[in-house]
Parts: sequence; structure tokens; C-alpha cells
Amino acid sequence: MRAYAGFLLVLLLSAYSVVSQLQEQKALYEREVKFLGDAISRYQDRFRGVREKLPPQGVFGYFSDISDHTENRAAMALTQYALAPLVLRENTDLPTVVGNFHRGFPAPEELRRKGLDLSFDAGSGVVLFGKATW
Amino acid sequence: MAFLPAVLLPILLGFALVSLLWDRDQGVPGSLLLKGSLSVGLGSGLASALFFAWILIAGRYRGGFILLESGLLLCLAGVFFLTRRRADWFRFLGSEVSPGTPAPRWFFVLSFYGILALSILAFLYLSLNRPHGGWDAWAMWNMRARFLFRGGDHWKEVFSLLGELHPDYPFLVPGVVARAWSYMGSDPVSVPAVASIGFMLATVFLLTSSLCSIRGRSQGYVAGIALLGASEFVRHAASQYADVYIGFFFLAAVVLASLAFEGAKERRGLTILAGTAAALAAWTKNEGILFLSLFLAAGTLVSAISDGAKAGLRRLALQAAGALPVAMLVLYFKTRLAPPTDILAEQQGGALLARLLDLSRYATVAKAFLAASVWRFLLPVMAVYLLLLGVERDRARGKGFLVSAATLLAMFMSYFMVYVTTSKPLEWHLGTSLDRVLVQLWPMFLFSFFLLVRVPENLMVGERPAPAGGPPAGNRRRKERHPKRGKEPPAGGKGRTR
Repeated sequence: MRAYAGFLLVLLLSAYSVVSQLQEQKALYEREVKFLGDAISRYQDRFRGVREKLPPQGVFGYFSDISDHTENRAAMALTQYALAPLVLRENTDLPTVVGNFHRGFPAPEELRRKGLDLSFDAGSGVVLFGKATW
Repeated sequence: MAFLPAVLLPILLGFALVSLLWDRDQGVPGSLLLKGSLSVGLGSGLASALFFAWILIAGRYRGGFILLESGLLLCLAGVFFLTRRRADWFRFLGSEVSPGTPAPRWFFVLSFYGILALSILAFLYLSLNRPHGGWDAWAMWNMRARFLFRGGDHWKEVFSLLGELHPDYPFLVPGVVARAWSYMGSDPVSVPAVASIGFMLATVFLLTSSLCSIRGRSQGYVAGIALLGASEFVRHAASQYADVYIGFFFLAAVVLASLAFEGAKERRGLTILAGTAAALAAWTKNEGILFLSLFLAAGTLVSAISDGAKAGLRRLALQAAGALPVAMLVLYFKTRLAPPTDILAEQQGGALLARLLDLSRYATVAKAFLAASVWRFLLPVMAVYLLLLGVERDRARGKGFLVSAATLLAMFMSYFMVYVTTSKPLEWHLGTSLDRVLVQLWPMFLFSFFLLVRVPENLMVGERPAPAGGPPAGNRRRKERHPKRGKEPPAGGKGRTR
């Protein structure tokens, strides 16, 4: 009897844990992912146009409008993941800079101050800058 | 089409190595499932190490690598066939999971496979929702795999951008993924998920089949159910984190050590394989380096105390021989490629002492460990299970259990102290890593636990009618005839106790 009780205890709690997780993930899939795709794939797709314009290797600048440190770190890591094996540095002094904007395009004065010149707009807030000659 | 050789070659390589080193004495339990699950993990791990060594030497992947792997497989298979009698060549195909033990009651089997099917379904939904895995998977492991695969000669540039993402971690997971991508010539996002479910299933079947072999079938199935019952295990497998990989190697090392200790004779092949598994843990994550040293120390000490210093040293030498090839790669990686380990590099004498003397840190860490164990793992359930079924006292003195439990305890204490002394914000460090750390230890814990706890069949035996003309189920094994010689096993021999 004790053996049955022990086995049933392990079985029921394991089944509860597995079924809860399954239900939760299935609901998430049916509600969101089925229609929109997953968040990281969507983020990666934004960089497809830029990826085609860049060489297969090299080091490039990165410029974003995200002010929060943690959010900016996550956005840059995602951009790095999307563009690997290109290497991104968070500075605007390199000859080519990847722009990643979520709240709108930066003001012309800010671009002038950083010496950036728009060279390609991939849409969805993703652009390439070259160094301005003026 | 290239996907099949990418997956099958390492498994076959692993199977050839495991079969070659599996001792030939009749007493070694060795079901196809046990060998197969070991082959998936050990083969994939060794293929990852081989792939990384190739990249280091040749600079980038070339077709020659397929020839190297295929040649190695042929060599191992050739040695296997040349050193075995023809009658023994395919004996493993017919070997039972647990020869001589009564068949498990149907509800153990049905429950295990039911929970397994639901867990696989949960894994699939988790993977559909996050095909790139969790943060650490895409930002660290899969990013490195992309550099290995797409970066060509420039792959080392990955070290310049891993600032906050453990650039010192070894390359087992990226090696497994990038190797498969290289075979396929493209980098579909499904490959890391396939590798993860491979390791998840290998861990489940290794735990189940090893306990079936050592303790009896129902014990193995209950352990498998408990492993899957901790939802963190399946969640982290689907997150493509290295913690499920390293958990497999921890488990493989203690399972092989326990099987090696089970017999009366020294089982050298299994001891060598245990060393290889421990070294592959070191090739997975930094925690594996700690595991390798603690595991070697535990095996040596247990052997030395029970059989004398000479036996201890012999065991150490055999395990070190198994670990050596992969350990050399880890050493090269650590000394030539990787920066210093952040947790160690950030420690400063005065601050470290202050943290060690701060009792509130011990309380915070203990509280976090307890909360995680209670809510996210089935620890209270296991405690009740232990109370209900009791302990097999002979087992508690067994060398296999002692090695497994000593390594587990030492790992647990080490992790505890890493948190106490961490220079990172303690709450943040616990919150971002404790679950994963416990996932690493969960399979090894369950193996040690079910080695110790009494077998349900033995308690159910009084409730089961004996088959006509045969002994009661619980005693049937002792009455069985020796499979080879057709005789009773010799009285007083050191047969396995269940």
C-alpha cells in the first residue's frame, strides 16, 4: 500500500506539473505565436535588408534611440545575433554604422553632431549610416 | 539529406566507443537503451570536441572533416569486431533492460511513457514559442555557433563581443550546433532545438535504463517520471541552455562509475568512459571543471578507503585516461583562447573575506535554494516518497552510491559557496541562475536517490500472486538460472543486490 501511495504521489504531481506547462505553452502559441511568429524571428527579420548590404565580415558601429541601459543591451545583443558574424561596437565613429530605431528617426541635428549620413533605409527603423562628408 | 549523417554519425561514433569499452563480463548490465542513451550524449560531445579541434587546426570546416569522422567510426567498429568473437558481435541487440528482474507492472510503464509523451509535446510548444531558445541560448551559445559556422577564418572575433556573456565558457554546445550546420551547409534554427531534445531524451532514458539495470524496472520508471515532473527540466531543455547538456554528463559519469562498482571484478572500460563523460562536462561549462575534479577525487577516495590505496590510484589513472583527450582541449581553450573566469577574476581578498563572514548571505542563499527546491523541483514529494518506501541499507554502503552522493553533495556545497561569495548582486545572481544550476544537479540527485530508496516491487510483492510453479515475483531473480552456463549463480558470489 505504501509503495502504491508513494508512486501515485510522484505520478500525480509530475502529471500536474507537465500538464500545466503544456497548457500554458499551448495557449501562448494559439493566442500569439501562431499568428505573429516568435519575437526574436520578427526582430531578426527587420535586419534582413541591412544584412544584404553589408560585407560578410567586419566591424561596424551601432546607434540606437533606446535610453534604458538594460533594454539597449538586449536590443544590441539581438542585433548582433541577427548580423553575426559581423561585429558591432556601440560607437558612431566607425565608417559604417547600423541604426536601430524604435521611437522614430533621430533629428538631423543629432546626426550632424555625430557626423552620420544616411546611406540605406531598410524600413522598420533599421538604417545604415556612412560618415558624412560635409 | 545532410541532416541525417550530421545526427547519425556522432551517435554511431558514440555507440562504437561505448560498445568497445563496455566490459565483456556477463554480469555487466547493458541494455540497448542504456548504451544508446550514453551514445547520444557521449558521441555528440566527442564530435563537438573533434569539430572544435579541427577548426583550431584547419581554420574552418572542410569536407575532410566528414572523412575524419567516418574514418574514426570505421576504426572503432573495426577494433570492436576484431576483438570480439563472432557470436558476441550483435549480442547487444537482444540484451534486456534488466535481465532477470520481474516485468514491471503495466501502470509503471504506461505512466512513464504517458508523462514522456506529454513532456515532448510541451517541449514542442515551448520550441515553437521560442525557436531561438532563451536569452543565454541565442545571445551566447547560438551566437557562438553562428560565428563558428558563418565566420570562416574570422570566427575568433566572437571573443571580442562576449564581454558580459561568459567568454570563458567552453564550446561543447556551439560545437554540436555548428558541426551539424556545417554538414548541412545552412543554419536552420531547428538544429539547436533538435540537439536539445536529443540531450533531454538521452538524460531521461539514461536515468531510467540505468536504474532499471541496477535496481529493477519499476525503480527506473518512477525515476524517469520524477525527472520529467520537474517542469524546469523540460523548460530549460527547450530554452536550449547548456545546463541540460551538462546535467547529462554529470549523470553519465556517476552512472558509469556506479556500473563499474557493481561487479566483483574491476570494470576498466566503464571507468574509462566515466572519465570521458566527466571531461565532456568540463567542455560544456565551467561548472564541469569543478565536477571533473570532485568526481575524480570522490572515485579515488571511495576506492582507496574500501579497497586500498593501490585500487584508488588505479581508478584515478583509468578515469584520467578517459578524461585526458577532452581535458587537453579544455586546457588549451582556457589557456590560449578564453579570458579568465569572471567569478574568480572579480574576487578580491578583503571583499571576499567580508562576504564569507556575512551570515545574512548564507541565510539568503539557503532560503533561495529551499524555495527553488520546494516550488520548482519535486523535493518535498521525494522526501515523502522516501518516508513511505524507506531506505535500502545495503545500498547506502555501496561504492556506486557513495561516489554519486559524495560528488553530488560536494557540487551542491560548491554552488552554495559560489553564491555566498559572488561579487555580483546576490539577489540578481540567484534570480538569474539558481534554477539552471539545480537543473544540472537534478538527474544526478534522482539517480543517487533511487539507488538508495527501496524498490516498489519489493513492497508490492506480498500483494502479487506468484506465477504457477514459480517463486514470488520479488524472489524470482534469485531462483533464476545463470543465462550463460545454465546453472544457479554461485552461492556467496558478489552478485548485485537490489
